[in-house]
Amino acid sequence: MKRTAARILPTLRGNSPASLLAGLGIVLAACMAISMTMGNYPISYEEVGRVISHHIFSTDGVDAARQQLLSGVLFEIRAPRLIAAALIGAALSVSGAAYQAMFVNPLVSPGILGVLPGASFGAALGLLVADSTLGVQVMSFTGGVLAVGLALLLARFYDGDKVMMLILGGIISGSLFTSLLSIVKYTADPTDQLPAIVYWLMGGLSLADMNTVAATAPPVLIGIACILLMSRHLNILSLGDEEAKSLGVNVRLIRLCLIFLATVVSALTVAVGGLIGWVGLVIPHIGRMLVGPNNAILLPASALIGAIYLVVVDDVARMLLDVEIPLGIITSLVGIPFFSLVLKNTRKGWN
Amino acid sequence: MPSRIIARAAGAALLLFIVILGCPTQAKAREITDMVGRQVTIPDTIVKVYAASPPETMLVYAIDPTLLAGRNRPISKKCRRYVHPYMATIPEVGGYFGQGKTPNLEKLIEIRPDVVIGRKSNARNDKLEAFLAEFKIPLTYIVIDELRQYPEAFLVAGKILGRPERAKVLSEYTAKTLSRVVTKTSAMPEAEKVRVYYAEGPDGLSTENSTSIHAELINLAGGHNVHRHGKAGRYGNEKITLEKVMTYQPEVIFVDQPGFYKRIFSAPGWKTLPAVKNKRVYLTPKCPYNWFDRPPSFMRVLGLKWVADTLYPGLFDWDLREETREFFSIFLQQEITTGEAEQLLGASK
Repeated sequence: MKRTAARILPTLRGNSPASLLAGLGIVLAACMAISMTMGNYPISYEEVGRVISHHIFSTDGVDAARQQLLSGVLFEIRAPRLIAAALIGAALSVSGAAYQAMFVNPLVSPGILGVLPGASFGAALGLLVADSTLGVQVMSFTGGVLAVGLALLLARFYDGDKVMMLILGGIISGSLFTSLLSIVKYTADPTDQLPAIVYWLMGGLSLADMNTVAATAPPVLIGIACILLMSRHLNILSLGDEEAKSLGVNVRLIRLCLIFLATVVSALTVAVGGLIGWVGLVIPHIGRMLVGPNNAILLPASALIGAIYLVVVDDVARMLLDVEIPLGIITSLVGIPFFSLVLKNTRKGWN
Repeated sequence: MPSRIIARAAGAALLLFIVILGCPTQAKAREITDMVGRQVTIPDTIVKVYAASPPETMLVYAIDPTLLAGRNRPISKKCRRYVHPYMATIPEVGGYFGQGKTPNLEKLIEIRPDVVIGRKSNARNDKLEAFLAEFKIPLTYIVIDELRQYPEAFLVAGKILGRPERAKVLSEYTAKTLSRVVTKTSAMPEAEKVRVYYAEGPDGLSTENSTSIHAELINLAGGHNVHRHGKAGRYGNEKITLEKVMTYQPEVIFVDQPGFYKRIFSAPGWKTLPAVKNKRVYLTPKCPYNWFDRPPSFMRVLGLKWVADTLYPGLFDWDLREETREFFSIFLQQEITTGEAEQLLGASK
């Protein structure tokens, strides 16, 4: 196993980055196409093909009633879920990779500044007081941004190593919002509100419909694109603050921009799919194993790998059992053992 | 003279003795057998009762609300007018229910109930047993997981609480309701039953398996619960996918949460289901307590009639409004008008 990996990795790294990214893009497209044919509602491949081609090329579809039903399943249930899975996977992976470079630490995940507890608290509070899904999602997003804002505020109070202080601020803010979440849980009605909160926090995409995806896709994509555009700055930041300053870079401004972008995209992921852990931490490591530490290639590669990973995981969540398995559970169960294996090689990817 | 004094003294002493005897220094006790066969010694007259979780509390409430010494939960604001005013005067103690909630033990000691009524199905029972034993508060168990256990549960609880006549009325009414509905529905062939889906959670995608106590009314009322997979957990709330619901093609949907009920008619995927197309989607009534489930209580006696009537309109020779009025009058001691009954029922439409 290790030997094959040792043989494959150099060849992958030897390839031009562009062709590698194109390859990942093709794999993602293939995964999404195959996932369109997977689900609990039985639709034959032939029917999927006919319905889709009818929509795109106006060919003869199936009969009208069936066409309407199948369009419903394919375009209102499956497609939004797939798109949401790909978006969330990409967003978490990119913000994870960006944070790892920024904090010069491979063990950092997108939740480092408390965005996840904040967004969870917001969502839980929303489930208590709001009566629409949109309300819950807005509150969730707001909570995530508030928690990071608090972490930044705390970090400003102290002098010293800024990166250290940010991490400390994140720990404090995260703890605070975790406690607030517990208060909300405790006051929730145990017969209906509490289970709703618990499921939300386990993470899952059952709430991803076209409206949600249409509302969140643009900001997430713009956020990801902005982070990708800043990859050169990230390369400089990962040399450490002193080095970066001597190269004439406004470290504070760059860092603030990146934190803002990463917070927005990861808070949006919680608003759509609840808490999906271990993606933002693990996927950048896989990316580094494949393409090395250069953020200009690592960030887009991580985005694509993350998207592929979450699309596949969501297929498992939908198909494995008759009941739906919360996504967050699978990502943890897969992520933890994998991460333990990768940890051994983690230093290699940085050099 | 002395002999008179002696006689008087003796008389006085005798009188005193009689008075002392006549004043019981401690309440007389009696022994009862609870529903899991435990022999428990309880005070002769019960004045204060605490029940460990909502279903038992509500059982006591039906028999006599003024016996309760503490609540498990806050009173719902929406249905306050149908709740006995006495409930607002007693403290909230909490209880053992819903994912690890525990009562405030100091408050429990403060109210010092004469007897505690619990349910054997709780993981924390050993804790409660040990705690109550330490403070010499008797604990009796009743079993009310299923509706068919209610007639007996009412009788046992009536005996414990010293309200046997009242309990008998409730027990007989429950038994009669069950037999009225079940004799008609149990004869139906499975293939002809209405296909029912029970939508819980904010997205309608949490449900109960056909063997779960939480969806018991569907089976009793002659519905075919479409979700038959897996094994029912005690807590229920199984997550399923929307595509699964579409393969089930339910003809009737019972919705637990008002927020989801508002969305179901325009929600993608749901629109294609026969139940939604034919407008056979019903919000479960919850006034003053849930009629259908969560907490599963005696309200299900009325809930059963509502479900049966909803699934098979016209099959039963009753006017549901009158049945609702009768139930409110007997079980909740609330006299309501036909209009109010209609409103309670209409909330589900």
